[in-house]
Amino acid sequence: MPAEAIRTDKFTKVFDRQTAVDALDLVVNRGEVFGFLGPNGAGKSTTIRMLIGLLRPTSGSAVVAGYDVRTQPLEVKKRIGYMAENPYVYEKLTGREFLSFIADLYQVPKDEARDRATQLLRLLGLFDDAEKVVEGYSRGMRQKLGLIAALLHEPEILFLDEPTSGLDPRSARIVKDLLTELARRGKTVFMSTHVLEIAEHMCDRVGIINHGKLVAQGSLAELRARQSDADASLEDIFLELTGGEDTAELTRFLAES
Amino acid sequence: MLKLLRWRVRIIIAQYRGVMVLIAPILALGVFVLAVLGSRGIFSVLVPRAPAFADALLLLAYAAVGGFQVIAGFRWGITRLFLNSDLELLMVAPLPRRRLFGMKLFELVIASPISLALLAAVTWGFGRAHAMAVAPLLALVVPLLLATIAALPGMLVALVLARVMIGPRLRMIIGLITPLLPLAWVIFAGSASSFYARVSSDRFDAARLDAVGRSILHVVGRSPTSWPGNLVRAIAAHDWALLGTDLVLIAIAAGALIAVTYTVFFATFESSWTQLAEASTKKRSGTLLERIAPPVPRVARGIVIKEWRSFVRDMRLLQTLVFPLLIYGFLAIDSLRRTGTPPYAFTFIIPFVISNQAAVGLLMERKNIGLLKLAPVRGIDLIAGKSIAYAVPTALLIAATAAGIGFVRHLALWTVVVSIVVIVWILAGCMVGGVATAALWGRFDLERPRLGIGPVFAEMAELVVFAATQTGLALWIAGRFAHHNPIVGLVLLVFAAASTGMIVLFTTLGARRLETFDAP
Repeated sequence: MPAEAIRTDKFTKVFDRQTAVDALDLVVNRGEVFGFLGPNGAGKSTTIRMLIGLLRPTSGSAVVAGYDVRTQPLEVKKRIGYMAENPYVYEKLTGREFLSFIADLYQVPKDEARDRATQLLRLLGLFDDAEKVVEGYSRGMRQKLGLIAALLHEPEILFLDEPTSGLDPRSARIVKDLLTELARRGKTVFMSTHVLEIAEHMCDRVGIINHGKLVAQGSLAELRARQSDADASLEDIFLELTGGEDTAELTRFLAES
Repeated sequence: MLKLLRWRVRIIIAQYRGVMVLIAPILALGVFVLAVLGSRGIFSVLVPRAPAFADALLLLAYAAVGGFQVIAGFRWGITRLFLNSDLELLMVAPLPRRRLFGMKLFELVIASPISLALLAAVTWGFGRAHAMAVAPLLALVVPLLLATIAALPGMLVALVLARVMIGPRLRMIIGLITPLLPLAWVIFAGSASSFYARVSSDRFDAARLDAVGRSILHVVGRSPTSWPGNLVRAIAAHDWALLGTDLVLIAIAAGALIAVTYTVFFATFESSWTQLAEASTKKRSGTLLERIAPPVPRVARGIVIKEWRSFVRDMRLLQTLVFPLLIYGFLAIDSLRRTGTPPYAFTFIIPFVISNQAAVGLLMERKNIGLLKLAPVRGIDLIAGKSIAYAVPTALLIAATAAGIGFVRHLALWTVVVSIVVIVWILAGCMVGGVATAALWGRFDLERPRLGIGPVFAEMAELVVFAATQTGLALWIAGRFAHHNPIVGLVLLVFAAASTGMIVLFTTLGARRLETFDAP
């Protein structure tokens, strides 16, 4: 089993002559929580969607869980879980039925799937609502259901797009603890987030993407060393790397108006 | 108000992208011009020879489109008023209720632009045949008048239903009303087949045709859906008394409908919408469907169970399946009653109607197609799951209908069994072909995913060829050809095999595309 969970090489996506992801070289090690950061439209979601097989890369390659995403997509899909910022759900199914459908898609043994679903539903406080149709769920409940669906087949690598958005503080805390525990058990978590505080506290390493290019990757200590500022917060580093001039300009505008 | 309506039209047009923005209007205009020329040709022949029959044809067109709009309006009313995704946006905007009412009414009026365009073409053709200078104006105004009158009852019923029923029950009603009303219409009001039988059984006889026309006018002319058509007739015949009477009737009916509907809208819409927006909190169990789903590979079975659960909970989905089945049931019975034979011709319609429902079923996945693409699932499993979900209930109904016909006609058991096998085989092939076409060319990134015009024609051609070649071979095997020539049989066998190969090819390509395309 290779030590690297994810490795990309000149990974590129071009939409209508516009480069969304530009020659990305990224390495994520097994058992780590990796935070993928960047401003809106930087290319985070496109990168994740290419890594999980929803988008075809224009050029370059990526190996996920030891398999090439282009040539062995089914092998990759068996080993990964994904939760989108707005999770895919079927409105007319109950939460329990939706999880049963996911178990069928991933061919998880019935009894195993039921037990695991019950355990996760209880953990995330969704057990009492599991027999209700999803159309009645709040955004946070859908988010939790999406997370349970992503975990149901016990993936080696978990891709999460803004995992705590829409969650109440208690649920957000449970999710953070859950992800940390998963990493401790050797699972890899690759998540994109705008909440730098979460990234700072949870992630072993982070990658920062801006305008489709990876501008930095490493642990917080490594990034601080690179910026030559031992006290810099992740927010300082992020703004420095992604162009804090916008923020400064906004502050000036507000002060003047 | 006009600004809002203009935006509405822009949103509809914006669904067409790229080259279709140019091609679609040109194609539509071409079809419209052909329809005008065709109807003018027919009316030019009929007006001097059988004027009453020409009038009857015009009124039948109005009655048919009006009837369709009234029936469909029940469903459209619920959808446009209470279920559309833009409602939340509109409800939080500072829109006066009268504007919201006008906007929703406008949406209902133009809900079926194709039927309105065809009616306009018929009106124009009728007017030109009478050398009326105002024919284009009448073609523009009168169908819209009809559509407005026809839209209001559906809107009113939707408002009343929404007031007295909770959301899920309302959705069940929509699902049931939509397919059942047309059937009730046909059963109680009769179908065009009786008129068809009276005309086609004789040679072209102008006097007889005119008499038939008068008898049709006698029945259809009183229907409110014919009143706008009567305006056109009256202007053509310079019958100012009829024109005046009809204008008064239309003004009274439209005025009363608008007043009642607007009053109900004003009084109930917001509270009903709020009530409907509260989703169901009822607990459900769907274990029966899990037990009765066919024993196919697990992934496909999972998709079948998911589809069936959605069917029974979202009656709008169910009615898309039930409606064609009811049409088939009606035509089977009608054909048996009139000619004593099963509805052979309808075998060719089934492929379009029902397989298209399955294709729509795949397109309805919309952005959820990403979930299916994420899972380690082959494209062929998706196509199989979708096809089976739709094919099984359809096949069951067809088998029941065939068995019923066999029982009534005292047919041999083996004849019934072989018929069922052949029809189910054709149905299964068409179902897979339809879903495969959607997989191959479907646009899942749109709010309302669809196939383009080209793929729809490709699908129709594919399914007709398949149905025709399989039916040909089946009829030859059954000894229905005049000469049981083995060479003919061999040729038919080759064609049937080739068309089956074509379905397999479409399926393979569709499955590959499902695995490789960029998910929205």
